[in-house]
Amino acid sequence: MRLVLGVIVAVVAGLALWLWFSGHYAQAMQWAIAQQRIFQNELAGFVMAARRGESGVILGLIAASGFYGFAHALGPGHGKFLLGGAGLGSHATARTMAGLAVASSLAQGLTAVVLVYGGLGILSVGTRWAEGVTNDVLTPLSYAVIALIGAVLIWRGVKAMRPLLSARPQLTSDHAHAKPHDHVQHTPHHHAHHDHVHSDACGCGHRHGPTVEEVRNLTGWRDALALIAGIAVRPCTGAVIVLVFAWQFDLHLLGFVAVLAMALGTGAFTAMVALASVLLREASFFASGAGTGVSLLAPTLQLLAGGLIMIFSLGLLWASLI
Amino acid sequence: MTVRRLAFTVCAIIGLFWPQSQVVSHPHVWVTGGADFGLDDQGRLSRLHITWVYDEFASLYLISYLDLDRDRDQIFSDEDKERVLADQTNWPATFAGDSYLYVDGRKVALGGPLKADTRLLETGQVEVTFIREVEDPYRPGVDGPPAVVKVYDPVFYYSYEVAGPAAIVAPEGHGCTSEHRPVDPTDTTLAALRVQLAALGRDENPDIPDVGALFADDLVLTCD
Repeated sequence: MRLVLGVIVAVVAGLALWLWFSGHYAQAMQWAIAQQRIFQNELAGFVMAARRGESGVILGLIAASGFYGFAHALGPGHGKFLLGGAGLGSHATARTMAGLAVASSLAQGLTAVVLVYGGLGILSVGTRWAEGVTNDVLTPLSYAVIALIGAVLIWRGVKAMRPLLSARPQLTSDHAHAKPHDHVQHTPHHHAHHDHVHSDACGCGHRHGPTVEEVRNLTGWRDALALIAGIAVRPCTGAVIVLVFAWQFDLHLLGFVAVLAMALGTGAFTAMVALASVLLREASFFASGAGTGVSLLAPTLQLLAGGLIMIFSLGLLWASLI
Repeated sequence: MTVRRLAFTVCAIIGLFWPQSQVVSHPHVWVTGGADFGLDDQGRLSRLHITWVYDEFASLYLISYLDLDRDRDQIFSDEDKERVLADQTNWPATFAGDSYLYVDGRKVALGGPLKADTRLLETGQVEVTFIREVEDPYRPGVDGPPAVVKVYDPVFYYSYEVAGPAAIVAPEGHGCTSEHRPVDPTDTTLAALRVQLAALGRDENPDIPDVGALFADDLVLTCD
């Protein structure tokens, strides 16, 4: 099993490194930047037209905003690492992850609306205030929250892995084990009670390890809220700028609609990343023959995902503070 | 290699390279225009006529935060122009102007912005024009190498695009030719170079203090 997992991790890491060093990543990024530029300028054109009082710009604005959000999301971003890592390190279903992706993008858009319209409308601060708050306060805060989520994932992975490693099974006795095993009783709810007794008693190769429930932790509503908050606390600067334009040019509703479309565009791509991470996780479970979630694989993936999330978010946090 | 060690290695490798991707060419503002060659009455290159046309989004940003064109007729008033030029031509000491003149590979000093002007184009784009004087006027080609101008931002936040050869602003019979030598955008080594730029930026390699120049087109002036 470990060999299979090792091969999978090595292949994925190899692919990532190949993408990086072959220059294809840079090319893909250049392409994404070019698309972003096109839609960004389209968006600006529609705002200029609306500013001159031209009618019939709303559909064009929605389309340009949506595509801008999607293209903007092609680059490296905090939301994708968090959702990708969460998909990999939890047992959440594809549907849950896609829902989380869209919900967090929409929440991110709403943060921008509250920040800009609230700041400009209620506090009547200058237009540069919203950008300042975003860059100086909310961005580092978001990265810190995400790093914390990564740490929680690592902690859960370690917790789930420790009993497994301290009582390594005798793999050689695995096949010799003749007594039919009562798998029926190992439902998630009962499993925890039987874990240690079971392994100590028979010393066989069946490592039931962390329960499905344990690794499914991330789908609890508190975890979901933490995920959404970690992403939403940092509004996209593009959305903030568009809302500042809209406020200043008295196009309030138009700005709101544009940011909503932008959030849906971003959510569409983030959902694809989240789905890909679920697929990768399921594939590695399948390949390792651990389809029941009974192995070292789940806590390993959790550790890996938590580690990646922490490293990326701490890197971003550092970059945002210096 | 154990799974955990593998996982750690993967994390470490990605972590090692991650901060660089922040540096890899992420231009957020695109500027078209470039530099035209200005020759004095002795036929020497004495000034550059710089044109910056900001992309629509950056222009909208300027209009918003400088509160321009309040009457929305898409024409800059004198007050609008003053605001734009105050913002665009008061260069801090750390800003070298994003235009550079080279003779024989060495940089030639250029002055600050003079005779600056601005207008709002029909496309909604803000255009800024100004002149930079060449401190040592030079006639290239006769007894020396050509003059080469590059327009670029060393940190690549701004992406400058030059559409074609620079115009020559000079009295009749100047006997000079202008040539545009673009960096091939389809060149696959360009992508690798951008990654290289990130690596150089991180190491702050003093041997190549001006790496942004690698990605800039050459505007070349040669004279009889």
